[in-house]
Amino acid sequence: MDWEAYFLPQSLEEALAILEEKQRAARILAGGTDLVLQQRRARNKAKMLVDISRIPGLSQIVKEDDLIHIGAMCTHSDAANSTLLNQYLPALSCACSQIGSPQIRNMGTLVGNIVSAQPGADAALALHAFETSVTIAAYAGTRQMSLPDIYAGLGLCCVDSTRELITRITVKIPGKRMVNAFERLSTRGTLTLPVVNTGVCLELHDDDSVASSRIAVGPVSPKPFRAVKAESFLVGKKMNAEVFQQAADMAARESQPRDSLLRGSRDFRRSMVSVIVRRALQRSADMRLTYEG
Amino acid sequence: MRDKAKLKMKVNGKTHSVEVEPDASLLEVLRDQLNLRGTKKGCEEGECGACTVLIDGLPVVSCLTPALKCQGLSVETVEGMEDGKKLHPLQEAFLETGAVQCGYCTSGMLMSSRHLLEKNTNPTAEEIKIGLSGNLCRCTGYVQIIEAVLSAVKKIKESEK
Repeated sequence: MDWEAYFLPQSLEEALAILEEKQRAARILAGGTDLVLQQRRARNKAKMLVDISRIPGLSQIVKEDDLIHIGAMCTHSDAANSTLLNQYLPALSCACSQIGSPQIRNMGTLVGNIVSAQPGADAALALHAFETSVTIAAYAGTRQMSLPDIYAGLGLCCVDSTRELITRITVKIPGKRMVNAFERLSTRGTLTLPVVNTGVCLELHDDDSVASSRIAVGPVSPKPFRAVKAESFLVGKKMNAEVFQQAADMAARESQPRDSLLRGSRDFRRSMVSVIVRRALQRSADMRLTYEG
Repeated sequence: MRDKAKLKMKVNGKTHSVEVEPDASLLEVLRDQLNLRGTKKGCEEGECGACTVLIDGLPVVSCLTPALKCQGLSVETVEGMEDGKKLHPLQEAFLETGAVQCGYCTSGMLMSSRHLLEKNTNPTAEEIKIGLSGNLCRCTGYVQIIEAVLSAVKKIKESEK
């Protein structure tokens, strides 16, 4: 795998100081499920690794007013089992519960899922159903970035792990009354990439008409995709099966999946977008989760 | 020349100090340096589960775990399952039900099963399938493995009576 040194800093300051000192020869490592494979396949050859698993407090999921903060070492298992996420962001906990395998979920992190920048990565895709930002710490200081802006292209993330790291993800809990759900279609139940996946979030008026909507679909473009036409179609509509079907068909029309030996043909995958978006909308409506700030 | 690094970790309750290559995987250190060859090298891509061990009680794939990540942590392998000369009820049940055929997946299956039973003392067949979903077997078709876990649950309950 070819790295020459391995650091286990005990604080964020120490981790950033190592990156600064090693002048881009060192790279941040969290769960390692992607990075160790990339090192082995020579796609990514860092000379030194900076493992952030010993930095206190990075595994936490906490709520602060209408924000939920998810730390950089929070694993998919942590998220899937989190009472907070299951209550407020079931789309996210559901997505995390379907990634890889139990072992991979005990290792891989949500932040790693973002940094790997794959358009169909379940956790990152689900985060696009919400107003999500990340906090990035570098030796020079800290900055915030909104989630969609962090994608530079297929598999490319704006965060340079040889100089900086995402310390936490922040999700805004939408409105007083909101529902959200995640759906995924895959060839097996486990250890498999999604054919297509979707995260949806609806904010509702008191009469159950839609106040705002977000529909994220993956992997149907180089970056996680928002079906904006379907989203605006839903606004002001009362929730019912017919409206959901129309919105799902619109989402399928605006999605651009590719032919894929792994995931299926373009036409098949596009028709499946309609199926999973309809299911996700219906399931979120069935939940009627009420948020009492 | 790169320097070796000192790694101190607990394996099956016993503290080990070893000098390791900085890029060694936990799997390599367990098998080649500690001579614990019960943990198997399968796909080396985190997809087959043959190399499953518990770190601080949680199942992980040791092929994707840098050995130095385990600094100061507690690792459990299949060698730690038996108590003296007595096999763990899961091991007995695997033998009795024919859940071991070629045997390559067995230690990983046992580690995932052990974690499952620590969390849930009375799992349904469906819960066992989910608990073992990260472990592939190409011989048994899984039926005997699920039977084995159910049978171990009975054994454990009877021994506690």
